[in-house]
Amino acid sequence: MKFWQTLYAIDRRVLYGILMLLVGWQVLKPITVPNVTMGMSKDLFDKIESLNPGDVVLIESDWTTSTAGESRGQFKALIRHLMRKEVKFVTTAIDPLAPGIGEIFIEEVKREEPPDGPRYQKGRDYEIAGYFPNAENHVQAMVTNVRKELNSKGLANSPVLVGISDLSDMKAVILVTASSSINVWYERLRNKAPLGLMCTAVMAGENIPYHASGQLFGMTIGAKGAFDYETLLNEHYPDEKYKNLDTGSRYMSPLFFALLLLIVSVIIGNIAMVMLRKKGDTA
Amino acid sequence: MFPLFAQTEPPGTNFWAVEPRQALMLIVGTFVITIVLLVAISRVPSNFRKPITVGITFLAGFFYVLEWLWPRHILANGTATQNVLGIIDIQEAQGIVNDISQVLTGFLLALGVLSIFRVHFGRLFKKQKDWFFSLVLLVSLFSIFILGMISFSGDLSMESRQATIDATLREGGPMTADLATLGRLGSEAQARDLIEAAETPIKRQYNRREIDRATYEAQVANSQVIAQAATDANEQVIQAALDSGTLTAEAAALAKQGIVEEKERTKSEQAFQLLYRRGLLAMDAAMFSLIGFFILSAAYRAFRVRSIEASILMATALVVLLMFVPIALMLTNSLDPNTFAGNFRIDSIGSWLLATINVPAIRAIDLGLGLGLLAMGLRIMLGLEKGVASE
Amino acid sequence: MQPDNVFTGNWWRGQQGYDSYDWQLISPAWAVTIAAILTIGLYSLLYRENKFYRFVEHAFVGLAAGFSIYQIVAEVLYPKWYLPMVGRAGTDGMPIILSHWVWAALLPVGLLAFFVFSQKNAWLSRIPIGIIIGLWSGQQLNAFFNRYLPQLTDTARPIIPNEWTLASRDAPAGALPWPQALNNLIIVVAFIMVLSYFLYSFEQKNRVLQKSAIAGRWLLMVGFGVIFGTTMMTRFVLFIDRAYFLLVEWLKVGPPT
Repeated sequence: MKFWQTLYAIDRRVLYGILMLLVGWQVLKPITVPNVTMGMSKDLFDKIESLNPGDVVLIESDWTTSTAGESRGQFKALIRHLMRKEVKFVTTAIDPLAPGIGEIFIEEVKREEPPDGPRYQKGRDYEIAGYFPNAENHVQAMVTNVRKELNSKGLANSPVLVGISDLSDMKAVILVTASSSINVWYERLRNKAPLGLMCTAVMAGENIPYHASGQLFGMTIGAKGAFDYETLLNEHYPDEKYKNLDTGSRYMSPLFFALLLLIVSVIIGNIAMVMLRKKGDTA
Repeated sequence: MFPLFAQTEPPGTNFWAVEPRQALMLIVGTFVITIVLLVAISRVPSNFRKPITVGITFLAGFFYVLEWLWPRHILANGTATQNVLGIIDIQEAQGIVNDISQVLTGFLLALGVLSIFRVHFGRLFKKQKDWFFSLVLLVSLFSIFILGMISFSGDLSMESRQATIDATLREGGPMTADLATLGRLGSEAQARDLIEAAETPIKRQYNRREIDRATYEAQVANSQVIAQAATDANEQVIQAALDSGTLTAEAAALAKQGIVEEKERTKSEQAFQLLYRRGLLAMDAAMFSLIGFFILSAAYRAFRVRSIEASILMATALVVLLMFVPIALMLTNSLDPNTFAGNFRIDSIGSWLLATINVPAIRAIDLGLGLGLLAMGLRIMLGLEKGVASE
Repeated sequence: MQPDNVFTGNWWRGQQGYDSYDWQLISPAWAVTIAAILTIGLYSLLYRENKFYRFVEHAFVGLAAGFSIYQIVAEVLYPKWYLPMVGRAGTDGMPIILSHWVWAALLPVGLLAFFVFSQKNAWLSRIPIGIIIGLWSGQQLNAFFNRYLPQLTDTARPIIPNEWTLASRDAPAGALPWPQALNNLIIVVAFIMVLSYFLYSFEQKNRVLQKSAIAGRWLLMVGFGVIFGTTMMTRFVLFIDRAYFLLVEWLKVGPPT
């Protein structure tokens, strides 16, 4: 009786402690296993892989460090891929924190890419258009007059935007996001450019229908999506000089043990409830 | 058509767009007249208030309805015009309408911050409980804002100094000692970038203990040599420009980089970056990662499989959790995906569940949500929605 | 373990492999330590509510608010309002920008929002809010069709297996195999069932409708199960990311990726 009672009411700090120990152990000594990539991650990868040097894509980078665990891996993998394909890009954001974060990690990728690869320069190969507060009107303006919207941020003479007079001149629009900003694009894009999504796992359920309907050409989901993208990069760029694995792969085994703890604790809670009931205790 | 909506690039001055030095009186005048108008509006009898707010809301909404429905005239170069009765061209006006919305949203967001001020200044001056924490909040708020503004004004002066260098270059202007100093600073920045790019993979190998300390130090020293070579080459460029007396393109590029570097090295900029990167971003990440702990304890306490619904939810969650973690996928990886047994791989079951059951279920909810938003949009435009444009 | 980890003298001397320069305000090792201490401060809440946590929490709110106003001024009000309004004389090699002085009218209109704190004139704040909300509502008509028509089209899928029509976007043209037809049927039926669950406008007396609504509720649970599962994943990964920061990037006790 006492036993089940204890299991029924484990102190939350004990659970927290176990979670910290499990995650800490796995962060230090991760178990690496081969990946099975998801179809929708591959769709996204293949689209980028099919781009030509000099093409321009738009990245709306709306994630902040509050979801860094998932979004950072995705964002860095995407930027890595674009740099290797020598595709130019412009980033925008609807979160005040996001543009600076995007810049930090673009710089990080620039340092990590092999020195003999393309050396990306801000203002020549990519631009950071910064923060736009009203998402709905901003996206509407991007769709109807992309030049005017970006020119107001001082990009009028940018070499990145040469040859771009309309959003349809961009080869893709990719959102790296942790918020519902993607909905604004579904509603306003008017088929001007293919839309891709790199979202947090929370958003997966509600956005998969848009991949099914073809409104998204591809999507990656959370840390698994980042791992998928890193795996695909590894397959396509096997050369030793590329450092292709990042946090996406690293976080997989701690995640497994954290989820295992969750499942086990829910099962224990349920069994304890049943046992206590059987013995007539009001649980 | 109002030329206001045709924001031409200079030098096409017109009534709406004037030379900057003539503008001050016009700006002040517009400001005053608007305030007078708004004061007049604020004095209207209370039964006129609703028509005013509802009318403004309707007009704002009607703009985009027109944009959607009014016929477009596609020009030969592919751009569209939407000329409504010769009054406005919606396509051109959209840029202005968007800017208005961005600016007004900016003001509204600032309002949100003002309400934080009110609460915490009040607490601080009345020495209420926890006034110290309010002080912490206000100090951090003002320090990052003030440092940010200093950084922003630095950006503006940086831009104009770079433009001056460009102009000097175009006109074949002289290479001065100041430019040489800036150029050397730019050269240092370049060398630093080179070293950091070269060191990053070496450091990684060293930290992963793939190479020993001696190799590491030898390779780092090697990257210093490469950087030194670049610095020497840059020095020659600067010296050549100094000797010839005219600014060269290479020297100008170095000087422009030097201006950026000079700003990065100021104390205020460094303090700003410190508050932003090591303060704000670190706390942002930590704050939201706490939720995982709370969800774990909540799931343990509250998740009871008592009904069919709860069982379905739990089973689905389990499959989804497993399909997103490769270690779990190992359990069924031996099944060949191209055979019938392949259907029972966890990733196959999960993908099927996501694509075949999750899609219609979420879609149905989503559609309901969309219909709701559509109805709400119409209600707001027509002034029927309480609390937005009308009481 | 990295060579210069927390158990070595180098770590304590700040020689952890960061590039440091004499012009730096504080050394990078210290900067990372500050971030780590703030992180631990927030985590102290997990043990119990305490003063240190509240200190860090308030600093966080203050920094976030202050940074937002800075961004609004630097990224919105200056380039989109002040500069077009005041213009720029074409000196110093900067291109001339003409002054569109009418933008000045926007400031008083925007300031009306601050009347929200006033008792008497609160209604005035509805003018700027009305403009923003009005623009949003006008876009909803177009938005609805752009967003949901492809969704409905994709739901109305072919359900009879055959040899002559397109099965899905990815299948080779000319065939709708049995398994795909079955899946399509499930999608169509499930969609209708879930919709039937949301028929609240009248009492559901029809037996078929009742059963369909129950099935709809079960299907919804699958959707919620997906959302529940993925939520857990996101939340755990965020913590794992911080654990990586503390253990690997700060204390250097584990190998980097």
